[in-house]
Order: sequence, then structure tokens, then C-alpha cells
Amino acid sequence: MTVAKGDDEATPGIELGVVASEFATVKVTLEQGGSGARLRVEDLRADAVRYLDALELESLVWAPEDWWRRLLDPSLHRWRDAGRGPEIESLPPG
Amino acid sequence: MTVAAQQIVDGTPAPTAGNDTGTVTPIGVDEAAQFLYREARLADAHELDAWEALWTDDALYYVPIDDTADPMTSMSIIFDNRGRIATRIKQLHTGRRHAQRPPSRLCRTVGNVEVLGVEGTDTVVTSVVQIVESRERGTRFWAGRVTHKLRRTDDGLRMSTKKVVLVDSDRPLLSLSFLV
Amino acid sequence: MTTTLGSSRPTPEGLRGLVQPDRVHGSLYTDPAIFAAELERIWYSTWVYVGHVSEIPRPKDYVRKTIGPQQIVMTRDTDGGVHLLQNRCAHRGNLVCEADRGHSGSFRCPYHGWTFSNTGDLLGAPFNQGYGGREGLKELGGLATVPRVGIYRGFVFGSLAAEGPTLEEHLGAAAERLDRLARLSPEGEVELTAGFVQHEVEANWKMLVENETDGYHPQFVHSSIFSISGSSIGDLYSDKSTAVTRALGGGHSENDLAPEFRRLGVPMGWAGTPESKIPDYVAQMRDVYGTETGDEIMINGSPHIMIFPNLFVAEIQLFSIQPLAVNRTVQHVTAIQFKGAPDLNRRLVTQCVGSVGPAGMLLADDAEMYERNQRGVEQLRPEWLDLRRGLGRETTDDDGYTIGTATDETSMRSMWSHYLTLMDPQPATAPQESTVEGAQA
Repeated sequence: MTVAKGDDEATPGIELGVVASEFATVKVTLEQGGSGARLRVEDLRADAVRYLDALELESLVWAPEDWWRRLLDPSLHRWRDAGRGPEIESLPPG
Repeated sequence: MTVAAQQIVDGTPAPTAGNDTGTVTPIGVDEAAQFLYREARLADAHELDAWEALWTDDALYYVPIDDTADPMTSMSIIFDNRGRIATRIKQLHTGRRHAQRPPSRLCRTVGNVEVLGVEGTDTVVTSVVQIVESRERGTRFWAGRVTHKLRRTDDGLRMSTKKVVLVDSDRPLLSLSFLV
Repeated sequence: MTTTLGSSRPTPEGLRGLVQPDRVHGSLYTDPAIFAAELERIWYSTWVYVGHVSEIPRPKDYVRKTIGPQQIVMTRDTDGGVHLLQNRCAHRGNLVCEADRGHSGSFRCPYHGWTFSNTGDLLGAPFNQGYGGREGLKELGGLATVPRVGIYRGFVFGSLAAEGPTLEEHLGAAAERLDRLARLSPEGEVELTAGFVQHEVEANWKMLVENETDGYHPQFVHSSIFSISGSSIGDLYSDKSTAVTRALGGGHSENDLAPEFRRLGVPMGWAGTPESKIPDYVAQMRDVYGTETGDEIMINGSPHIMIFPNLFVAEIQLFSIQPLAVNRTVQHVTAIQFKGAPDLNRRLVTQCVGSVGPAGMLLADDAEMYERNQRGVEQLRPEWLDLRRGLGRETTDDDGYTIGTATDETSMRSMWSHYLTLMDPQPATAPQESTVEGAQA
């Protein structure tokens, strides 16, 4: 899985809070810097960060329910059998 | 439980003595412990009136289920003001409080006593209690983290708050009809 | 008669001998084989109360619940639908949800990471090439769902049997009592938002069910608190009381205290709360329903009903009864909250906390009686528990239901009659007290 890490730790941000359940713990920060705003999403149970820009966030809003269900499949990205199957399984058609 | 006391229980640094406590002699850990031991002994021995006399008029006797919940809108195991403490004691005095007939045989240990700080006129004290309760149905072990707020009065030390957070407060509990 | 059942599964014939019109046998409370049969024929068959929709207000909310010893997860899907899932991973049987409640549209088992939607579908498993890739997952199962889910007035019931009477048929006249309860809210809705106290007793679940509408015990068991609090509740359960015990069919029963509340004629008199303490609530009720109807609702008060086998509404508090073993039962108790009535709700919480739970000034004494009773029935003789109180003075009301006086055991007899129809569904002869069952239709 591609994760962006530590590229600019110093970017000032508003810590929006931690979204947690018994299944996941994620810290969400709104960062204002460079040439615009982005959302910093950090998996606190693993060392992984994802930055999301406005268009990516908007796309999430419009993603259909099937796509979200597919995203929750542990085998889709994070826990894949390396070299034992297709590199990336295609998402089902929306 | 006030926010300050809550923070204390959660481990954040204790507040220092407030401005309005200048004339009050601080309550040290030894004096606090002596009070806690006495309270424990009176409860174990079912010395109901003597135990009740330890309370101030603005008393709060609180055994939460969820220590973070608002007791005005959430269920608790015990949430007694002074009037309800009196009712509880009166009920025990009737001899018809079946859940305490015969009274539980009790033996409790109070330990890990710490003075955490001062809140207005009260000194916040934390401790751990472990209680063995024997009844005909069997013997039960209770344990919890206790917060007392102690106040110096003309009649000696009194408690304005006693909060007992049982280790199993949000799990199924058998009847807890003695003074915990 | 020979009543020792040993460890073998009780036969229907044996059970019929143990439940008689005026007495029941002690082994019904102590025999593990009978308990096992009850799980199968009652708890895993009939409609059982599970939870309330207000406990999962938003899509993706979930809360852990139970049907007897079965662990259930009650969920709200993105379309607002309510689902009941068994908390058992389809892979190795691990408990999937550990938290009492939470917010998550999918659940990931901590053991091997199998992930399920909140409707039970398997969304995926890690390293799925071991199953032949994503296509192979189709061969694998999801979380088991409770086959039938029914909701009445926000009360969620589940039946582990795929077929059987509908929830409406099961509730019968009990449904109208839930209507009455909901009408006490200016918005017509009950909310269970105060959380639950869990009070365990070392007694058989039927001890609790029988006690809930037993009007004979309050004057004795609760005399200590009645005498010092000046409560008039004790008088409601006396020989002079105009209240009645009513068998509603389906094993349900009620202490109908409304006649006494009407005699009192004071809005909210049933709750022991003067109007002046809850002016906002009273004003809103009159505003919404009109003064006459609003006052009538507030005078008649809340029901006191035992909905078989596990939902007990006692005016201001709600109990859900969970059997765990033949001599082990948990009562999950909360203060009933009425939507749009914050001032009343706060009083109900503090009132309820004083009464119920392990330290409750009422319920700890009930629990003591359950446990003493359990130890008592474990003794050999006399083998029977008597059920004949008021048998000779029962009457039928205008709606065709059997009623007794406030202190009669009408409710217990009807519970046992229904118990037999569930435990022995195809009797050789017609069940006793068939009029009680007939009233349901």
C-alpha cells in the first residue's frame, strides 16, 4: 500500500480529533500550508499516513456503496498474498 | 464528580491548594488514612448511625457504572444525595431490608492512600478498597478505586463525597446491599 | 408421581405432569435438562425482546445484546434498517465485536482479520489467494443473522426460528400497552438512552418472570422502603385495591393499576411526581394532546406489564431478563426515557437508580427473594409450588381476558399455560385454560 510519510511533519494543522472504534484508531488533522489545504489521516495502530486533497475527498463522497464495501476487503491492498495472485484486483464496476 | 477530581483520578497533575483554603489546616496522608480506616471499620461492622454521621450535608455517595457518564442522565449503581443516604440507612434499620437480613459479614482492606490535592474546602483522597463479603449464598470479592473528598469541620473530619469505581462496574453484578 | 428427570431431556409428557393448573413442580426451576429444553423451545424459538432502536440512532451504530446466552450484535445499516447478527466469526468462531457499543459499518475479527458488513456479509479475508482469490470467498459464509427481526414502537424483537407466529400475533394485547407507554412522550416515542445496570441473580429466570406481576409480594418484600418513604405503592397491592391482575394471553400479564391511578385523578400521580416539579413536560403534553386527553394520559400512567419471556416494563423502568444457566439470570435494567421530556427524564433516572440494580432499595430485596427461593426449591419436599391464589375468584373482563384481584396469581397461571404450549407444541389434549390463549386472537 502506498502511504505518504513524514514528508513535511512541520506543516501546521488543526488537530480535528481521533476517530476510534474497537477496530481502528485514526487521527485526523486539517493542514493549511504550501498552496492549499489537505486532510492528514494517520493510522495510529500502524505507522501509516495518507494525505487527502479536496478533490479526493469529494470523490469519496460520491463513491458508491459497493466501492466502499470493496475497500474494506483486507485482501484488496494491505493484506495481499505477494506474488500469489494478480498485482491489483480490479474494483467491481460501480 | 467535578472535573478537577476526575482529572486527578485519571492521573493528571493534582491542583495545588486554592486561594480560599488559607485558614484551613491541610489534611495529610496519615490523617486521611485514619479517617478512611475508621469509615471502613464502621461500614464493616454495620455501625450505621456512626457511619452516616461521617457525611456532610452536601453529601454525594456515588458508585458509577460508567465513570465518564453524566449521572443525571445515565444509570448508576448508587447515586445518593444526603437525603437518600438517610433513606438507605433507615431502610437498613427497619430490619426488613431482606438483602441485608442477616447482614453481610464484611472484611475490607483500604490501601494505596494518596492525597491528591485540594478543591475549595475539600481535600481529595484516593485509595483502593478490597472487600470480602460472606453471605449464605457464598463469598464474594469486591474491589474498586475510591475517591473521598474530606472536609475539616468543628466536629472533626467529614466526607462530602465518596465515589467507588468497581473494577467490574459495567458487568453483571450480584446484589451489593451493604455499605460499599 | 415420579418427577426426577435426571440428565435426560424432559419429554413433553413429563412436562405436562410438572405443570398443573394450580401448582408447578420444583424441578422446573432446578433441572438443567429442562433449562436446555427451554432454550431450544422458548428462547431460540419465540419472539424475544433484544433492544430498542434509540440505542443505535445513526446508521453504522451498533450495540451488543443478547438472546438468553446467545451474543447478538444489533446494528443499523446505511438505509436505517435494523439487523441482529450473531457475534461469531464465520471462520473460527471468534467473538467479532468486543466493545459494548460503537460506530462502525463493518466489523473485523481480531483473530485473522475476516471482515464483515454490519448486515453480516463477508467483505473479505486477508491473503485471500488461500481461498482461491476473491471469487473463492463466495463459498465462505458471513455472520449468521437472526432469521426474524420485528420492531414495534421502536422495541426490537428477534426470533431465532425462521417460522412462527408474527410479532404482532406474539404481542397481542401487549402491543396496546406499549402504545400507552409511548403516548407518555409528547413526541410519542420512548428512548432508552440512560444505559443499563446489569444485576445478576443466582436463580432461575422464571422466578423473575413470575415475580414481575406478582401483586402478592410487594407488601412483604418491600415493606421496609414503603414504610420509611411514605410510599403508597404498597396500598396498590392490597385486598382493598381496585387494581387487577390480567392475563393477556401469549404468556403476557399485567398489574393494571390504572383504576387506582384514576381514583387518585392527579396527572403524574402514578409517578409520584407533582406537576410543579415538571412544568415543561405537563405543559407540553397538554399542548400536544389537548388538555383533556393529555391529562387522561398523565393520569392513567404507565403500564406494569411482563411481556413473555423477557421484557418487563414497570412504569418508569425497563427490565430485560437474560437466562444464563438453570440457576443464573441477569436483569438488564434502565430508566425509561420519553422523547421530548428532558425535565421528566432526569427525575426518572434518579428515581430509577434508587430503586433498581444491585444496590437498589427495591430490587436488591427482590433479588434476595429470588435467590432464597432458588435455594428453597432445591430442597426435596414438598415438591410443588402452589399457584392457586385467586383461582376461585377469577373473572373475565369485557375484552375476554381473565382477571384476578391485585394480589392473585392469575398472571403466573397464564404464564405456565403458555409455557406448556411452547414446550409441548402438539399436545394430545387441549391445553388448560385455553380461554386465556383464546383471548389473544
